[in-house]
Amino acid sequence: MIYLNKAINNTIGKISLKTDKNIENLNLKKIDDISVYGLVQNSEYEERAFKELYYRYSNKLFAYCRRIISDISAAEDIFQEAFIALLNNAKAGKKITSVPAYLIAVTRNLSLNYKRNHNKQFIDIDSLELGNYDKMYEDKEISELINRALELLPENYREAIVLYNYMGISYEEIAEIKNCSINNIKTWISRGKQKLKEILQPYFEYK
Amino acid sequence: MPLPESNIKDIIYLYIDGQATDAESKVLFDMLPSDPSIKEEFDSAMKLDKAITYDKEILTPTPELTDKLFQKAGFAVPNARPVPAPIFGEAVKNIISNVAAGVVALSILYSGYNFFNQIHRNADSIKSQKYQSEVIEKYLINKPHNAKSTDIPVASSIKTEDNKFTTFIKNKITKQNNGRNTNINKGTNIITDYKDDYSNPLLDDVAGADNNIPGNNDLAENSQNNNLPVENNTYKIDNSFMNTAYNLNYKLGINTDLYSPLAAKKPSDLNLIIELRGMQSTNFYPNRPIQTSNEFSNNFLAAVRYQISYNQSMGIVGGVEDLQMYEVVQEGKKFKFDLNSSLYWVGMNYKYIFNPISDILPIRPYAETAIGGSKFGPVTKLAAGISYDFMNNFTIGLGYEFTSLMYTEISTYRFTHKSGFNYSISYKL
Repeated sequence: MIYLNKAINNTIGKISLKTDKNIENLNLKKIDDISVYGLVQNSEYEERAFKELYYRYSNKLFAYCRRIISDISAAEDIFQEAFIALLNNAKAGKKITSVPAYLIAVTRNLSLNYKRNHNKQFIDIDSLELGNYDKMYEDKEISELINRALELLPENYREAIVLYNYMGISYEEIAEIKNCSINNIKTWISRGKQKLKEILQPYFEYK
Repeated sequence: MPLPESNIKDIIYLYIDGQATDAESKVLFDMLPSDPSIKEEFDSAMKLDKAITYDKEILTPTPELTDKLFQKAGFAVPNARPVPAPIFGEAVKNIISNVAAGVVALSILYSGYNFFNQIHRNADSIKSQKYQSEVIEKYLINKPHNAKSTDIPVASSIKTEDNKFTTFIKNKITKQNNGRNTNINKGTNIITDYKDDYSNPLLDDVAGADNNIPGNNDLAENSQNNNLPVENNTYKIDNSFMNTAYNLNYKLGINTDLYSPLAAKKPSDLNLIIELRGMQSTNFYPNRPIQTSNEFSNNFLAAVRYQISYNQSMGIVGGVEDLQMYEVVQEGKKFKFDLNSSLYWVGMNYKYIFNPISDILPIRPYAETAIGGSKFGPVTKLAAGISYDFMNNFTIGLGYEFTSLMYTEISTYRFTHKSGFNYSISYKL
């Protein structure tokens, strides 16, 4: 009988009886990440809370995904999967300590799986032809150049730069994620940017 | 001693990222004016940082990607076309759903009842025969001397043409009469008891015969002393079972529940009913995906009621129920949300049990209401269902209930509701 009742409900559609104006009045922008995450567990706030978290971190996470995974389609898929994982984690009632840290952790795992499956290989900087640099480049082309230049970096350098500059997390947080010392992070970022500068220097001279 | 060039370059990028120490910054600014190569490196680093910042700003998810994500999450799409309003309101749909479920459930129950009822309608039902024999044994054999020999309650389905039944009764009476003959008038709905070999059974008493018929000595004695008429104890099987049984017991001054198919129960001394109830939740409003891990032990109530009358009882109820709500505590700008999936509450309840719907199977509909309190606020409950007296003083029940809790959340009053089936067993003291 219970399953019959549930079957009837699924046929007609599950609903909420009460519409509360106070839900709409709650200003989520003033609430911290973890509290908003907690609101996702509440079906009354679920959609608004999830969207609030999405709009807080979507740009950063998207930039991170695009610069960690070169393939645009794969980067978009990983981006979506990270937020869906956040939503499912919240609805399952699982606690987290930091929303961006969780998103980064999920994205890293997904990107590692992707790279493992696609057998990404690093290209030697000296053997790569980045094209002529004897003309002016539009800004969007600079963006593409940066993307290609990041691909040339060792993984640790690339990830450290992307986490700091694109995801916006601190050196200390990067050190926690990478499970290494902060001095390593400092070295990776500074050396990585020096490499980037070397690669992009010819293109910057025309800007 | 000047720093190695590599170290200076590291300091440049650390400085741009705001990670250089005061000492490192001082070294850098001391060297910038005097070393062109360091200045060139610094300028290039600034350009790179600017380019990376610009790159980050233009890397944003497209609206299409956002829509796709929200669709995957099952949420409204910001740029989607408006969805046509549903034909039925959400509340009406839910009501229809639950009413339909209730009708289906009751239909299944009623079908099951009819099925078993059909079994019980068989004239050869041993249970009915046993009940008849016990009633007759109690009232026929041990009939108080002042009781009228009319309207002995037997079920209309049992007829004297039934050889098995009449033989059974005859044997019982014969046994009681120490083997003397007993005649049962067949086909007339009349049972004539112990018509023995003696024309006047009273003479046996006078003559000191051992007839071992309880009550008869009194009758004989009173008859002799008071000239009461002596008549054969003839008893008519009445078709109106329930009313006659009730009337008879009322006349006999016995407060028993005759609606059991077994022997009449002894009077209740305490008029207390102890009930244990379990529940199976089917719907929550609002609906939350988080369920308790052990639903059986999370839905348990116990009640103690006093029987005010045959139909009414009232008492105390308490227990734990699966009722999901969030306990919200505001600490400055932060909100702490604790999901509670168990609600402990206690209160008062009132139950009205209607008369049986059939004289074959004593199923009695009931309606019940309760009101109480919990840690979070008041709780109310409405329930309806059917109860069945299946043995002495024991009753089982099956029904459907609706429970509501009112609580506060961030200075706002909220309600959470639940509906589902309940099953119970009760014992009358």
